[in-house]
Amino acid sequence: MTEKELLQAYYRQGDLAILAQVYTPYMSLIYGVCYKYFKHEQRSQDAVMQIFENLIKKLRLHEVDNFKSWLYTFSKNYCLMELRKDKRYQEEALGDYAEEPTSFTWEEQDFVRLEDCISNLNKEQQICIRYFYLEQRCYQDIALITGYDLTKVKSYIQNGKRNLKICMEKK
Amino acid sequence: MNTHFQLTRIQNYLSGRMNASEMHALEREALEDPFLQDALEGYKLQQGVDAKQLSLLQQRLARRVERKAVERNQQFFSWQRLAIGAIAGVLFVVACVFMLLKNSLFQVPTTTHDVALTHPFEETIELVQSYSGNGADAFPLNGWHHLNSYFVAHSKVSGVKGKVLINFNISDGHPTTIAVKELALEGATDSVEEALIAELKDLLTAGPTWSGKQGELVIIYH
Repeated sequence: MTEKELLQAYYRQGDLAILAQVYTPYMSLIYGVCYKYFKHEQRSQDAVMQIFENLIKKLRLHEVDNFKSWLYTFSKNYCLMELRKDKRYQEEALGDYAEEPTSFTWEEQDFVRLEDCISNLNKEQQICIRYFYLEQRCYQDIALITGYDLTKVKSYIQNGKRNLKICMEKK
Repeated sequence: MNTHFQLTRIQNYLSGRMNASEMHALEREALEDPFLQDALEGYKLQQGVDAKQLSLLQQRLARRVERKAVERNQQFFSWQRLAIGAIAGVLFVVACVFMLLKNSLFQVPTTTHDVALTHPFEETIELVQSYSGNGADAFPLNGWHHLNSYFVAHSKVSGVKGKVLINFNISDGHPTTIAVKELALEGATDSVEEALIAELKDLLTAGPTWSGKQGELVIIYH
């Protein structure tokens, strides 16, 4: 059975074994996400279990279309809510993540505009974007070549990518 | 479906066991997949993947599923008991209410024999509904009291004592084929008896509407 069929079966029957079958492959990713927010092993493990508990009810009430991205948002929200509960956390801007796939079709002039848009990025973003997307280098290589800090490289690419997208969508 | 999405790749990435192009591929994938990106960041903070920890977590999930199955069975049984109890209770109350309503509204007799309906005043005529077991099931729609009053008000025969048993069929709510089954009158002449029977037939035919198919009635004259 596919993931979708399993979810439908759970939606109808409420058999936990089925839900566990769907959930298990995602546990490691969810654990990683939780650790990112909690920075605590035991707490992250408990969160993985608690998210499962919450799914038990949720997935009997709703049928979910894109389970992976739904589960990601659900898990992240769970962690953020927990952090908010104990007030040790200052709210982090969301927004960055849920990028929707665009149905962008490329025309010749778009390639020209892409070059323009890349040139319009700031210097660091421009360099990193070129290495990453055009030369297909990994973060580590880019850091070595440019001398930028590894974490900086990553944020240059993330921000550059976002700016590039904004620029390309301006017609 | 992988048992753990991406776990090996994350592990290899973080422990430096990937070549540059594999690293680039994962980084690129993570840029498109915020789930992977966040997880990657989490494991980076944790400084690597602990496979043992994850397998313990998997065992915990398995135990959770088993526990739920046991719990559900227990809940099911107590639930079942409660539900059966509740349904039985509700049905009982509904049945009682139904019986009461049926009796008071339609006045279906619960006994099968001779329900005397005496008028509050000393009247000369008393109707006794009779079920002698030969299929009589009819009753006046407006009730026996009403029928009794009707007879008292319209009967012109006087000075008669005794009782008359009649039966009849009901057609369109009115008695037809009225027959006298028993006649026991004290000191009444033939002509008085005839007049009384004729009057009874007239009164019944023109009187209140009936429900049922066959009626039987005892009329007692005081």
